[in-house]
Amino acid sequence: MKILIVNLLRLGDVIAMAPAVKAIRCQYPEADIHLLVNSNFTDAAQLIDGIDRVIGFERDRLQATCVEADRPMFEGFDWLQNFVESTSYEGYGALYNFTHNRLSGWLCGLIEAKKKIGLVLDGSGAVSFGSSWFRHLNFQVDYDDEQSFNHTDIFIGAAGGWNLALNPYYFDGLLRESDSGRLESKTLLSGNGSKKIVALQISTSDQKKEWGDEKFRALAEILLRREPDVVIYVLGAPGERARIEEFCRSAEVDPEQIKPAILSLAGVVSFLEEADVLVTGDTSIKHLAAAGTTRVIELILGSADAYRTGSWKSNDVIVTSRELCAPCGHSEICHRSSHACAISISPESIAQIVLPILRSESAVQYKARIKTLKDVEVFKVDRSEGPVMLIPIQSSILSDTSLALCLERSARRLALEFRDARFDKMNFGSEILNIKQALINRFDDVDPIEMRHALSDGEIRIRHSEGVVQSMKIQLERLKESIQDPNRMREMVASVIVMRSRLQRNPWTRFIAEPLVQIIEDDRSAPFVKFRRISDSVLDLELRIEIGLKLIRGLETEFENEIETVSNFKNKNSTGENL
Amino acid sequence: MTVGAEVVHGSSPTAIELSRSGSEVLIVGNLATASLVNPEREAAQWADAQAQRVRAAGAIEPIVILGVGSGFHISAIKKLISKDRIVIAIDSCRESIDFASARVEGVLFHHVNIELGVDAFFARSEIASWILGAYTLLRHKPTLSRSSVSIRILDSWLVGRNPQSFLAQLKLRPEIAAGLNPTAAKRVAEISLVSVRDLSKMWDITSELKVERRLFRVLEELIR
Repeated sequence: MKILIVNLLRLGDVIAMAPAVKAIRCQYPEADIHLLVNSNFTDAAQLIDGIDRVIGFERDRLQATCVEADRPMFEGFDWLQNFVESTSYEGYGALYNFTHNRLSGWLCGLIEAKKKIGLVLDGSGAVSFGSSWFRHLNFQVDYDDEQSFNHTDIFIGAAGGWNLALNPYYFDGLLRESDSGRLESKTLLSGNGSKKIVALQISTSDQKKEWGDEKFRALAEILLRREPDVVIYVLGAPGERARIEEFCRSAEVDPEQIKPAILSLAGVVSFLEEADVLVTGDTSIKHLAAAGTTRVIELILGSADAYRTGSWKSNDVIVTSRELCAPCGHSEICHRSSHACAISISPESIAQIVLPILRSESAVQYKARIKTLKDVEVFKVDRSEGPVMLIPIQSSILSDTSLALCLERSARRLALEFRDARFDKMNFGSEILNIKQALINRFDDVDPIEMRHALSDGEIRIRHSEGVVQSMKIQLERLKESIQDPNRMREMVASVIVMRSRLQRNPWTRFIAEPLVQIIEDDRSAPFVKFRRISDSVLDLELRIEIGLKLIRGLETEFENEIETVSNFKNKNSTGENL
Repeated sequence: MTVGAEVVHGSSPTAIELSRSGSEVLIVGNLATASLVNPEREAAQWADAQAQRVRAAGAIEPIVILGVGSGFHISAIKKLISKDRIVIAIDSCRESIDFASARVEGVLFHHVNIELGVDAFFARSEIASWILGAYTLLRHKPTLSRSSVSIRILDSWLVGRNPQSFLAQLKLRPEIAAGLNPTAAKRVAEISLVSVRDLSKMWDITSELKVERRLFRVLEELIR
């Protein structure tokens, strides 16, 4: 079977799809997998393991044919027609569109394939997603940042990979090393001995996401002053050579300790296998490192989004500023008089995050050190449950809101998997244990008794919401008889508004009420469409509440067992002492 | 230095001169059709400037060169590509076609008499064979700037963005023409420079499911 994977975004987005490619490869080991990317990334796309052939999409050329008056009017059309015909001729058994924009939707609607997963537009006005995960991605903009899934995880889900990705070794070997890349890296690193390697990626594709050369230079100087057994490499593409060399020259340190690393992408992949830490902004290099073994320290600046597109490897560290305007909109111009989010993050704080990693300090020491930082918020990437959860290192206070937020995400993930027929809601398997571990990591200072108490409270409140949703179901049954009656439909929407407000008042269900916003704001759809949307949303709520309740009950039992174990252990010890 | 007797073809007196580098250069109506110093170097520089577009177009897409001149730039382009790739050279100057076709091998030369009109041009089978597919149009600007207005008219036919040439190209693509709203399509005569955005307003509502309409939807996304 032939499979076509489509990703017409930028380099970082293409690399971030590597775990999903692995999921597809694992499910179809014999398949011939082709990857369609923008033609300027064809070389980079070869780095993803599991791809047999890379096809270039001439986006720049097509754009030129549309905007340049001296290009033949039908050049783009003729090229595209030819491209679609030749691609369809391959006879793909499946097509995965990981792009999720309208351009790719139209294109994937035209390319023939037996099964299509991802956004597809066919001209009839119908939009198909082929997977609940992609449908969810479409609505994720309505969710708060903390509720969102990282796009890499959505892609894994859409590729049907969650059963595989729970294996801790799943994220190993996502990229291919090449002989030329290994040689580049080996040549660069020769003569370092056993020194620790810190890589700095000082440039980004967007001015708003830059921390600034001065800050990076100050960081390098602090690190080398306090940890002499370190070599710093400053990464850059051949086109950035002058900037990188100037950066290294102007640092007030031993020139042997700070060196330019002008490498090809293949060289970067091999180099990152050797580096201990990478400090970077939101760059494609970050994704390359996340797909490898280097510990990533990512600075979230400007429009960078820690939750949706941040680093996605376990134990990577994400640093955000405390500025209230962050993150700003993607194409929004910074309205501040200074680049506040970058300025507010001090090199000293980043050094305090990097140094313990280089010194292999214990988790307790690390946490204590991070807690002293006032200018930044520091998160650790945790994958105990499966998808990325960003754990705030400085604060682990248990509240009904923070606990509900964690469990809502888990219930939502399982509901999505259930809809794609990959999860049996009668059999939670190891899910409860994984989620328990994630909660322990998230609220590591919290006593199990407190946790059990919070869960019991949550159960009561969710059961109350279950009742609200059931009454809505009864109302829907009645409306079925008179969908066309505008008064009845108005009453129904009014009930949805009331239900949403009741769900939002309850901290345990405020996070599940988002899908209802679209129904309330929809004043254009035909009555039948509106009715279908309300029923779908109510069924979705019912499913998520059902799964949420089962999760809470399972977790209560787990924490109860833990309390008993601890108590037995204490009893035994105290008995021993008495004896 | 003139190496041949002056001959008269139609209204353009032609001659052949040797450049300083020793190559024969065609002179049409007292204007040299290539550099009289070093035409090979001039041609190589032009070809280098086109290299990115030529390579981006892939290995099989035909290359159409508008402006034949003395043919040096056509030879230079041939050196950049594989032997199998089709190269078409097109000009409204008969003398240039005759001169270059005698000196450059493996190229399809087409002379175009613009007085016959755009429909007659597109009706020629040797033109229709490539104009309906994807091809890379390269303009030899030195030739275009030296030549008469006729080659610029030919250029506008190939580009197809003025009302006359747009409608002529549309006739070659009846499947697109059939999808357009006749009233909206008539308005094209009022647009001096037709673009994909203009075309997007011409489609008929009933053509939404057609492949052609959906292909243009992809292009429209690039200019949103």
